[in-house]
Amino acid sequence: MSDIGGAALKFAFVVAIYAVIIALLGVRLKRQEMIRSAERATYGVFGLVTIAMVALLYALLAHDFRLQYVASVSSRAMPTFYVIAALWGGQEGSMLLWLWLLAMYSALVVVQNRHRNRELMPYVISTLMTTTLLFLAMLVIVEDPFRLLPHEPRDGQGLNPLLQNPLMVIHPPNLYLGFVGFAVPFAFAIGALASGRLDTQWIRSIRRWTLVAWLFLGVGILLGGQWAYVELGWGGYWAWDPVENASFMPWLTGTAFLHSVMIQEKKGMLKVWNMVLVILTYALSIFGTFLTRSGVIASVHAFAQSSLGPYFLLYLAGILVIAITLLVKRLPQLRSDHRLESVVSRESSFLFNNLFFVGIMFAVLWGTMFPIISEAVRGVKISVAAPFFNQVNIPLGLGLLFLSGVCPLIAWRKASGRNLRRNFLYPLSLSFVITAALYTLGIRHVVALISFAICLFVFGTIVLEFYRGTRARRATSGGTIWQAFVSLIRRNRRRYGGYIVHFGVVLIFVGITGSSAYQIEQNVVLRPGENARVGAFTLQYDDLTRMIESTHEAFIAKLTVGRDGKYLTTLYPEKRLYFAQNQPTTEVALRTSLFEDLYIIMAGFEPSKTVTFKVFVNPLVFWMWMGGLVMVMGTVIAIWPERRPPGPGRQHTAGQVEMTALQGTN
Amino acid sequence: MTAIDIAIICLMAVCVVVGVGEPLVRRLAYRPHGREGNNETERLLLQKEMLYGAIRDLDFDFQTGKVDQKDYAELRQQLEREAVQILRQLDAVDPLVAFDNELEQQVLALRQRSTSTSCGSEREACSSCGTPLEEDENFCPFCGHALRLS
Repeated sequence: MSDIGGAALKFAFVVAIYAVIIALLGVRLKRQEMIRSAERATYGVFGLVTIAMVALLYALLAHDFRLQYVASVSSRAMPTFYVIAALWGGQEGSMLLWLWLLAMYSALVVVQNRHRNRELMPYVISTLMTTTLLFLAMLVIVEDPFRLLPHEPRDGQGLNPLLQNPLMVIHPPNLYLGFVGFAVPFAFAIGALASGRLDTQWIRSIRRWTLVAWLFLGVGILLGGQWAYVELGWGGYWAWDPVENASFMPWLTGTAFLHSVMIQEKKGMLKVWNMVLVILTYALSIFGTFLTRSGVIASVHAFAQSSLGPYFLLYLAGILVIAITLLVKRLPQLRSDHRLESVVSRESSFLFNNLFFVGIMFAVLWGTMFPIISEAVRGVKISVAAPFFNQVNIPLGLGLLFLSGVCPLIAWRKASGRNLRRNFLYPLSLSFVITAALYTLGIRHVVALISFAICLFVFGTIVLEFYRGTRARRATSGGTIWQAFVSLIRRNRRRYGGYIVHFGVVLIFVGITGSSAYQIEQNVVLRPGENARVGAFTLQYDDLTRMIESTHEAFIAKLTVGRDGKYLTTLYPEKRLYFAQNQPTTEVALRTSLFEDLYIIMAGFEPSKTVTFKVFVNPLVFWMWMGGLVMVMGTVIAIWPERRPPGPGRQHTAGQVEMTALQGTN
Repeated sequence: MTAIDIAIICLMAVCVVVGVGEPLVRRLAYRPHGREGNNETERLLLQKEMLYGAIRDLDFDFQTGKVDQKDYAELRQQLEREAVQILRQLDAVDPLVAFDNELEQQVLALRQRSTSTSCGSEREACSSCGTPLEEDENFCPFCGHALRLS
């Protein structure tokens, strides 16, 4: 089976080269059959990579330890669930998963555009297949997942214990779906630039793709944060680690693009800027992969280190040169159709929002790259710690949050002072009253107060938007409030889905603010029977037990937790030693509630059973995860297809547009 | 490598070569535009869609109190002027679309008349897509769903 997998990858490599050449040749020679053949080749690459994936999965499930990859990431004692997850638990496997997702996206793009964007498609296919080639080249030449060992070991080493977590099973595919997804908008951007079809059609074609990629990347980042929170045991969820930053940067530029693209769709402006954002987002996705794969930057969770760096850098340089050359060549055709009518308009507030997003991205990029730059320039590796990132990004982040409240209240094109005063009155009042109440209740942390005030303001604007929209809808179409509310969302899923996403962002900011400003951290040393007080909680240490499992040995402390003199729960922080890797790990004991998390890790213990506990009380973390769910919900609403009238022809659509325009104006 | 492995690899290769090579032996007409039609028409239709979208947004902003009456009237007039220009260009480029537009203009006039006469009455919605309907409609103007079979 492994021979079949290896052969499939090599075939895919050849077919991908063929696809790139034949697609470009087809458009040059104006030969439809060549373009059709390139489309078939794209399906072929997907089929072949799928065969390779199935072959590797089969080898893992069959414990075929002749394969170096299988022996290094799995063992007989591992549960089947983690054996399957080991498919992307190591370098080669995760690259294969990446490749498979890219091949799947490419095939979907071809199916979706059989009758659309015909001028762009040869370039889109060749761009996607070039990216596929990068991964295929690395898998065939450098990191062959089907490489055999000289002698078959009796058992494998097993998956890194830190990765044996359900979150780690779903986190990488999510992240990859996001990273890989940005290849599609990039391919369309190159297609538009190369073919000269620079109207808004290509932008419309990639809207959903961008949203899907953005959603998966966002979910991937949050799941990664949650994994770090429950698995790494340092009390937090985000440390501005290079690997975290690598996924955050494309998300930032992707979010900026999702906003600025609306200006292009509505007014035909910012065409060059949108191109730059699409190219930048994709380049940052590749750069992020380079950071995590090459090992150039030390990271607490860089699990994969290899000699792949030069491949990524070469590819990155190549795509940037091609994209920038094409962009410069097409600059005259990318002039704006309109100009800003007023500085006080939603368009201009979107521009500010873009500046903030890109500003944060550059700050993160600078902080991430600084160790390499300092080493290259001064010969000393100076690492940049969290305080730098926080100092720069907290004000920018809060500014951005404030804008997310301001933008929806400003009209497109032009807004007057009187309108602004009227629209801002209620959200500002709500924010002022509740923030004053929080102050009197004893919240004196200035940044936290500002953050809560902005969160309340944005929440107020979102509620107001829904209220006014529902009222306007009801006034025109009648029905109950609920019917009007549902119809409002259904008629403009993108706008109201977006507001729901903003609400999710508000919840995330509340969580981040609470857990950063009011975290309690305390070390307590206890002997069995002793107790300690941390925040409002009382902890009684009952006993320490030792257990031997199939893969590890565990030392488990039993803690009885109380609050206000009443029993609350029993927690079991653990220290484990995994046999195969001889690696100790810390298992966090966590009690989550709406307002605060009690987070306990066992820092160390003595033979006398005296244990050092590290206890954190993290307020409002739960809100952050809830915010993530709300964001997913909002994005799904925004992505959900609108009901389209039947009929394939554009002429029909033109007619319907008029109808829609008329109905919409009701 | 077993005989079965070799057979599967050969089969894989044959499938790929046949699947990818098959279109090359056919003679297909080169259609760079697919079903999208003429470049200029496409561009104008997109611009028209953009303008209609802008009118919808402006109306909604006005209804939700984000634009003053004066600004609203001024901006709407400006957008309508631009839309008319685009429609004229469209007429010149593609007669079929022009005919389509003419029909729609007439439907619009009829709809407006019927809206003004039926103002205040409870309107039903299309059971398929939820679009508000006029009393005398037999088909939904948005999705084409048949409303009355008789």
